[in-house]
Amino acid sequence: MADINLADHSFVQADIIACHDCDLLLKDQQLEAERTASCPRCAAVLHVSRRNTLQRTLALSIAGLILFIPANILPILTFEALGKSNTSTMINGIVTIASEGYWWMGVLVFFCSIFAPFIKLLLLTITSAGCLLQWPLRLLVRCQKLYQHLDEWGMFDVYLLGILVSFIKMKDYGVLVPGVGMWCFVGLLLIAACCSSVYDSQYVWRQIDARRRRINAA
Amino acid sequence: MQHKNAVITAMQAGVKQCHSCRKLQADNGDDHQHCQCCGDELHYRGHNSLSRTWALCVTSTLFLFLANIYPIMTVMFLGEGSPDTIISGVITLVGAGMYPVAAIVFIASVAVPLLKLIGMFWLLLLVQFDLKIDKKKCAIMFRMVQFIGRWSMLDLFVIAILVTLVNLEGLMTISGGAGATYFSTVVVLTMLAAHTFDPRLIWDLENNSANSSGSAVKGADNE
Repeated sequence: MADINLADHSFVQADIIACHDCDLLLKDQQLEAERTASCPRCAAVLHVSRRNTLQRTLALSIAGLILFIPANILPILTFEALGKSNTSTMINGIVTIASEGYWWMGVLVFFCSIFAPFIKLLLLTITSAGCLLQWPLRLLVRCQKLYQHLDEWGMFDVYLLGILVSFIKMKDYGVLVPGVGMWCFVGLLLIAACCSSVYDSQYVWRQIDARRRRINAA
Repeated sequence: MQHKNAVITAMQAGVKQCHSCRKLQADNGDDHQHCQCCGDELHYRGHNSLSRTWALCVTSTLFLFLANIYPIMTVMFLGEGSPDTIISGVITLVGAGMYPVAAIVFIASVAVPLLKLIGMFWLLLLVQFDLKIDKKKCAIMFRMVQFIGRWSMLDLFVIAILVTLVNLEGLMTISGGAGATYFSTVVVLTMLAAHTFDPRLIWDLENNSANSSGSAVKGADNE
């Protein structure tokens, strides 16, 4: 709780951070692993420290990328009524909507249920591997920024609720059979959720900043 | 916790925080100062945050009307059926006795967009006219608005799934409607509105009214 000298800006270099939600200046604390720091004024979560964040993120994001292909191609649900049947995968739903003329909705559904989650996993693979293997800083900064922009647009959780609602809506009209794609999708959802919660974005930014300062000093 | 006498924000101290990497940097007087860590342009507050958020909220209100007027989905069962709007879809579900699904669809496609817009307008009025309201409650409300926004995509996902799944010629078909396009626009615009609104503006009101002579910097809560 030391008082700091606000007259000059020397504290910028010291261990002082600002809350991103209310701009309050705070003393940075070295967090133990798996602890959360929050702002005393507005209760925003400042930092969640994770043990071995890079290794865990890398493992989970690669697993997610592998599961992505079957989850998208294999049938999620099959609908049977009066001897007729029809299957739905994640991709052909979007194609049908777009071909009916609702291309804007098709683009949005594609973006939120396939594109954004896929790119998010890919970016996490690149940043975590890049941080471990000292890949170029410019690449890491690009990926970090893009990840932060896409973060809230990946909507696997909402999509799963969508599948459930469709299931319940249609169960009186015919027989609904969940396909292999469904199980892959649920696995993918769990992996993607773990992956983004295990990822410590602040840690990566600090690594990037430290490396940049080392380069500038050299 | 009483911080009113100890409020010192980065802006009061002449320090800019990068909105991407959160690094603090002393203001060097340049309007186009760039972050030393990630190269982004630095601003004390979101660039034109208020006017952009106003514009997005007003536009999405208009689209919300359109989304509710036009049909969002048509279910044809044995050659019978009529286009459903969002509201009539919910009423149909209630009529069929599917209360839990009706509740989920109602919350996701009626309550969430409406509450979200009301919340955003409330915050905009608060900041614009410096209303005397508990700032912490407003900050929490803003976080909820950010959190719930994405769940209104639910109805669009349901349509995307059903349109392909239920496509049995002559027996039962489901197709989309113009309302779905407007509703997609509402979802995108409200999410962007929550994104452009800078929550630090709420707290600036408090800083202005508080005595800011103290310079003690508190440590973050450690849980």
